[in-house]
Amino acid sequence: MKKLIVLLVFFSITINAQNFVVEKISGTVKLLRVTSEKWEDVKVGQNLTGSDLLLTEENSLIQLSKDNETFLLKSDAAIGLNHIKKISINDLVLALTLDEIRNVPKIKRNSISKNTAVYWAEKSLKNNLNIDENVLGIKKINGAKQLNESGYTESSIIVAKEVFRNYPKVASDFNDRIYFADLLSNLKLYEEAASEYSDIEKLSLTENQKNILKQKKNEVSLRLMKNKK
Amino acid sequence: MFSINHTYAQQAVDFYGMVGDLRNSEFRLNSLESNVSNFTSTKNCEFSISTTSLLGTSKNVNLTGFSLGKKLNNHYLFMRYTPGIFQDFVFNSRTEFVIGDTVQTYKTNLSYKEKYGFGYSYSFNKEISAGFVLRYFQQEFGEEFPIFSTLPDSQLIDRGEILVDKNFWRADIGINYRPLKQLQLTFGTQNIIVLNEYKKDNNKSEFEIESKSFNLKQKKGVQIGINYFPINELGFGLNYESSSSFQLGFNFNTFFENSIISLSTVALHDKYQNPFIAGVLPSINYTSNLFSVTLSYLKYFSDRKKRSVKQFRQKGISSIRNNFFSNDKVSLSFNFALSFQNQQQVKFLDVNITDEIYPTFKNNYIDHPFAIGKVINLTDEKISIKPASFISDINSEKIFSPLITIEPFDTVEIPFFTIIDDSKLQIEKTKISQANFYLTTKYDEPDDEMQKPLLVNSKNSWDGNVRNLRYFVKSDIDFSHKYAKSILIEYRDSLNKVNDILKPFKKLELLFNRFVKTMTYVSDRRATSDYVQFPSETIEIKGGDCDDLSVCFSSILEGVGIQTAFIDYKPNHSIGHVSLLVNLNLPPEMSELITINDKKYFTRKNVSGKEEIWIPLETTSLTNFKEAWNIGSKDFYLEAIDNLGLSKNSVEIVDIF
Repeated sequence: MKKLIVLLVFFSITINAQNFVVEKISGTVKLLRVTSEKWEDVKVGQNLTGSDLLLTEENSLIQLSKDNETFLLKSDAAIGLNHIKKISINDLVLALTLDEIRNVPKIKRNSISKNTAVYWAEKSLKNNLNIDENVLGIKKINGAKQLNESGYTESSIIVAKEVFRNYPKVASDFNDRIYFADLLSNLKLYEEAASEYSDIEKLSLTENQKNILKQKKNEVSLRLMKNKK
Repeated sequence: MFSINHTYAQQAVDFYGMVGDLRNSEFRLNSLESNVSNFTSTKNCEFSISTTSLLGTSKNVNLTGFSLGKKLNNHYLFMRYTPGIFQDFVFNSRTEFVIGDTVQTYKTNLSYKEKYGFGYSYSFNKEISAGFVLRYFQQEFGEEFPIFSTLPDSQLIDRGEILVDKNFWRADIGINYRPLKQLQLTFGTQNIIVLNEYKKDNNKSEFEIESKSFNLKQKKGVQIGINYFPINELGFGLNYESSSSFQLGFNFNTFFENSIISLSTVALHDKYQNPFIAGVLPSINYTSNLFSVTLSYLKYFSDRKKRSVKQFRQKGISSIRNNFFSNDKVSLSFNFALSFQNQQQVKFLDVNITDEIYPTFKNNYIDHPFAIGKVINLTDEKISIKPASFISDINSEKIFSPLITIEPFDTVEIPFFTIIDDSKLQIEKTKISQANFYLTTKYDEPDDEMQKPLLVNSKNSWDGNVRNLRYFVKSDIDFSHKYAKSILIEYRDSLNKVNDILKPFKKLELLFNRFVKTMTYVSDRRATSDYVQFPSETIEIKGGDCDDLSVCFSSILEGVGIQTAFIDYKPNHSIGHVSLLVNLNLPPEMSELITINDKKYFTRKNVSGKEEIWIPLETTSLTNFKEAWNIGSKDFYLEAIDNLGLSKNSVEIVDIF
């Protein structure tokens, strides 16, 4: 049967794909290890690996290098090191399908007990605990934009999709949503872009935003029709 | 002397009255008169017997005859013995003597009998069959005459009789064509071959020469029929003879589970009988699997009592059963299936066992077939099949799979499902059992059966498919519920202080930390096949491998309403792994209540479309909850998310419902 020892060997093969060296730091830059609950300081010359998350505060930056390439993470952003990589369009499309398969299937559950979720309590509890879940989400979106600007467009889209899912308030930002939907269109993934525009349509939008969205949807629809011909 | 015109009464009348022709009865509900092609839908060997009562005569009930029919592949043989098909005429001859006041009269006796009949037909395909019939007729004509004897003192006049036998064989051929399921066309000859037994003799008596005119008329002709069944419950039929006669009829059929009742009426037109519709032949038939009974009544509309010798001399007869001189009749016929074997409607070509039986997956076989049967419809009708199976080691009775309809002569694949009897779940050892498969159509007994060996695994056996680990989770859910409750009750006070929204998380932490205290990770105790412990066994043994521990802890959580899913890390170079995802019922906006690190959870939309936080848990990490969560998260993030395992299907989330 499956043995844990063998399993750990198996996992360890993939763990180190991204090895970066910190070349330059300005301002406050922090690091969150893959499963850590504590932010750490980062030092110049430090080796960073795997899925560590880097975060920059306002007026801060960090420059990383790997295999004679450099990556600059500007202020007020967060990025997982594992996302600083080139991925193919095919892998991007595959990653986008995750949205379809990750949900709980709509089949009646036969559990003997009831779930204990109490959604009415959410608001008061959040206020009591003073949670601001947007901060990291916004920083991650900024990080994703910087990934795109650095030429890692496919990776940036994957990061943004995950952020929008994990941080619902961030997902309600029209401009951010349009930014990444446009990236899909630029990559000629028109069907995926159309789907994203349709999702954005469900947000509470101003008239101006609705007009912008309508125009973008029409453009994508036209391109889809041309492709089908 | 009298002369006889060539008039031909209708020859194609038998006493079933189209009751069977219009619905393709599986019993032969007609005879050689109307069915010259000897066509039958019969598939069995059958015996029939019929009686006739001539109304308005002193002859009450006569045995008309009995017959035997047998289908042999495409051949059909039929024979009948009919002592009751006869008609006698007696009338005064020309000779008479007047002796004193006494008039001595002499009779002419004419006797017509049809004794034997044979039929043969061959089905070329489901549309066309052809055949012939042979019928043997006996004719005995007698004329009395005076014999004078001279005695010494007187003269005697005695009575003698000349007897002439004019027996003959008659052969006809026919063809039956069924271009459509609802349409049947028939063609048959009349008197196409007649073989007389009597020889020509130049030294014949005057009576022998004269008696030629008494012969049954043997004019050649044809009969053409058409039957149309727009629906199973209704049929129409027309049979036309070249003598300008016809029969026109219809019938209604009512179908019961294993029987049919038919009502039929036929109108007879005979050019030489009055009125235009000379008579009607209503009949009623009941047919079951084993026998068929038909009651018919032939009613003529002209007054038969006013028949005269003169008319007979003028018309003669061409049919013994139906002619100008026939009386009204009531006929009762029985047909019996002799083989007592139902006609096989469907047959197995093969049965392929697609799955071994794993007793613990018992609900799996309700909607996933364990075997596929290849079945052929042997008939020209659309048939509904009730497939069933019986495996003595897991079933207490036959298990019926859904009804399947199969087109005529078509072949289909039939799935076989099964339900494992609760009393037979505790199978300790894997064994080879015999699976019996049955195909039943309209009869009580199966049309076909087949037996195949089948592996029935022990209750702890597992096929390696992580989806099927769910059955182990569910099978011990009552035990797990009690186990989890007994732990949580110890922490009742601290749980009560936790906000409801965090209770699943807190319960998870408490249960896991207690769970790992007693557990030890051990590798699978079987080297060659997969063996999974039930949760109660894992708790009792205090250990297990990754699937035992995942199954057990999933069952514990499900027992208190915490939703779980297996994470199936699919085998890569023969290595695979199973761990758990646990639903905290926590919306992503509140993730910081449990972690600041979004790599440690995974959001999934629930059935209501709301995002919820699920956390991965490595159940083999038997240190504490935090460690198990961290290890589980790290592995899940790398394999499922970063390496696109979920999209590439190298990692699968298997929900436990």
